[in-house]
Amino acid sequence: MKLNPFITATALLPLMATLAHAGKVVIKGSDTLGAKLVPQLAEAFKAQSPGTSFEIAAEGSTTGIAALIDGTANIGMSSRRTKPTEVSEAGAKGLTLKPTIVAFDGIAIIVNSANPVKELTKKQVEQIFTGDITDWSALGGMAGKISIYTRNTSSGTFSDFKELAMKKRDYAKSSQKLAGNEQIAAEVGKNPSGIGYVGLAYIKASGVKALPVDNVAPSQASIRAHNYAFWRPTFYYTAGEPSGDAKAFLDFTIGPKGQAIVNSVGFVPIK
Amino acid sequence: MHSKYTLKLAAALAAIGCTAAPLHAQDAGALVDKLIKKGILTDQEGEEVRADMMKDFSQTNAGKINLSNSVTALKLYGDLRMRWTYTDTQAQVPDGNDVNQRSRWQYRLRLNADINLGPDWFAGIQLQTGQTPDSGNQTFSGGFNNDSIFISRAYLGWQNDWLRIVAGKQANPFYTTDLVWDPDIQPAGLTEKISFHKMPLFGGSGGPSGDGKGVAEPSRDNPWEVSLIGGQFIFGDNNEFANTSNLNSDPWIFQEQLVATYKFNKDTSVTVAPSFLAENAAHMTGTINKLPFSDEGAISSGTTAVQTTVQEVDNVAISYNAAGVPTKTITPLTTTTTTQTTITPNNKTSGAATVSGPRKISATASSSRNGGVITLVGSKASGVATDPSKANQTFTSTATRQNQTVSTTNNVTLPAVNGETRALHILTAPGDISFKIGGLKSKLYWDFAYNVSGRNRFDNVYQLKDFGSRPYKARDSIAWLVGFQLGETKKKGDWVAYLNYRETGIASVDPNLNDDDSAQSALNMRGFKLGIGYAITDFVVINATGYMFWNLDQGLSGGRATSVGGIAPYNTSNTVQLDFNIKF
Repeated sequence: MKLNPFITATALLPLMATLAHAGKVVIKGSDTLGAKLVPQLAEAFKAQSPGTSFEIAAEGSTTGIAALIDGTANIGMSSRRTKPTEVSEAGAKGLTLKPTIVAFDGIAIIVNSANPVKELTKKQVEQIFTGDITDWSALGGMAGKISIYTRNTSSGTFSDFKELAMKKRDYAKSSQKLAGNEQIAAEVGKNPSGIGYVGLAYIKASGVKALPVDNVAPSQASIRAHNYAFWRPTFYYTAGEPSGDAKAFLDFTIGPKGQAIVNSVGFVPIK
Repeated sequence: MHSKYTLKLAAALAAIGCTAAPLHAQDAGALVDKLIKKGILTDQEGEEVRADMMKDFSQTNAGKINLSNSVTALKLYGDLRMRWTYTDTQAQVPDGNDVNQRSRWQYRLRLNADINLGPDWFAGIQLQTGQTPDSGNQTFSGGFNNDSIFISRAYLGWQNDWLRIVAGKQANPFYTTDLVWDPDIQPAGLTEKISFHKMPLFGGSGGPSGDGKGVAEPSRDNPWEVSLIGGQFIFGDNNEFANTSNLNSDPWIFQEQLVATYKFNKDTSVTVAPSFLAENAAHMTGTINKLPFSDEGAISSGTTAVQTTVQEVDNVAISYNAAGVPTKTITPLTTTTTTQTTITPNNKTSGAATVSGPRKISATASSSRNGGVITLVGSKASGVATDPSKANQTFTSTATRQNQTVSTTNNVTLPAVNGETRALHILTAPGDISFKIGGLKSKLYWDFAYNVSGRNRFDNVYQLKDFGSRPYKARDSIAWLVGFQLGETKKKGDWVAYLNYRETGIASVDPNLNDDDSAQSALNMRGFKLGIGYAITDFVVINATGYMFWNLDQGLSGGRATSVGGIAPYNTSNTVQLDFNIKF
């Protein structure tokens, strides 16, 4: 069935009107963005525009894009690009999903400061985290069983890292799952045989060092230049060109004040 | 309609000298990344170009397919075959309906999905027409009835370079021929394959393949390929809590095989694959040939060949009385115009203590109806003149007149078969020598099967010892095949021709597993399978196949071999198949 865009727009009008009511911005999607960054951006925006309220639900990128298509969100947060079927579904409703890059994200590989290993290749990272390599001696380090620390399964980074670094293979059975970046950095800092991954903001934690991957060290510059292996853009998706409070919030996010918050939270600003 | 960003991409491509070849969303990502790195596009512009292309792609058929994130590769394929088949069988023990001829129009549809879930895990599904395990054929019938489709494969597995483990209903992993395993059968259970030549220890690459496309190639320097295959198949399911001991264990098939190939060069190799196949004793249901393979109650040997002649023919019979003493009876069954003149057994007719060798009895009669002499001939492969074990039995005899044949046989009640009846222990040894003749791939191939439990099967399962026409012979436990194939039909213009000959002893293999096209799976048969094929295109192939089979031992009858549901019911079996196949 081919939908008439006019009829579709008419049918969605009451819903759009509800969303636009009283300056409320509904944001749903990625927990990577929605856990910390977007709430801080919202608070800063509210301080600047007191009449605006926010409803933020960080339940995964897929839920954000689905909500955008359903018309139950103004902005869909996403740490991945849309899939063809999502674009097709949106098209069937007369919608165009427009991406706006709001920040870059990088995942750094950290080891204990005492570990003699100085760098890794992408292949070695895959082999370590999947359990193909289990001893540091295979990587030029001191003999000893590798202790792997990862985020827990509810974390978006847990699956993102599988996709970015592990060719979607499963983590090694011996890997230990921890709640957040701080815990991973702390455990690696205490364990000379430990290895884990953290956001860029945590690579200066005590007792750890970040290893270059394929000869490129994780840094804001290398991530912004897309030279570092484990980087990704993060997005706000809107249904067509944003408008109203949603546009204002999006502009705020990619503007100087928003990008300063992006930087402070540990993401890499887009400019 | 393309956005300004797509136009910008086109301009950028022109600026860097790319041709105007059409771009697709799935292959433009790397190009967009390059343009961003060169500073021709900003990240945001690049993202909007991607979104534009994704939108275009989403409107294609492929773009509307949504795959799970766990799927790293999905292969969809199948084939459709139209077949005309003609079958002609003649029963081992002739009666009024001993010759059957039939032709059918059939089709077979198979739909496959092979799914990779990362480099190590995989799964597969096959749907096909036809419910029987050894055939996906669906006959066109029933006044345009719609047909059912069935799950013929559903498996999952794990593999690395040298080990592959599969669970579920799956393709047969063994190196075999249709002498033992019908190629249409998809056994259910657990299989393992260890490829020794792919182990690092023996020169293999070692480590995970990493590409999700299967195991790595073996070292080219190693001319040997050696694998060990194991299969534990669930052949049926019984209630383990049943009170009856023979009903409370499941039927299983276990097979282990060592496959060794030596490659002299890229075209020439020798493969040998000794194996051991075992089936345990258990109650069996569901299979076509289940009767002689299960714990079954007493059955009748059948009423179709009772010594009651009702046709207008002459009859000769030898009957044994209660003491085992044979007497002959000549019975003109029609009008008085038929007159018996002589009947002469060529050996001792009665009263002797022992008589060895075949006995033949001939009789002649004249008839005014056809104005000539009619010869009646009866034969018996073995026996003695006085044989208490033959008490109250009548051997088969035939009488020929005006092209009519009438036979007689005994109709007895066959006792129940209980206990350790189904057990089979078969040694097999298939192999081939592959080479090229005039640029055509060719091979000489063979198979051999010996059922270690064959005598028990002959005597006690098929009950031929007490109710059959002759005692066990060693060849009853043996099946073998030898054949030659020239060519193959892989691509347009290819052709293939092959011929094989086989003999299948009555106690040698499982008729539930062997090829159902070769003598309808029947045992105690020998004959030829001849086929030719031609590939009209890479995906359209036509084939013609002929099967010509006849008795390995014509005198073998009785027991459960030729009873209703028997496993050696045919004197001859001939089949012709004409196929039109399309692969997609």
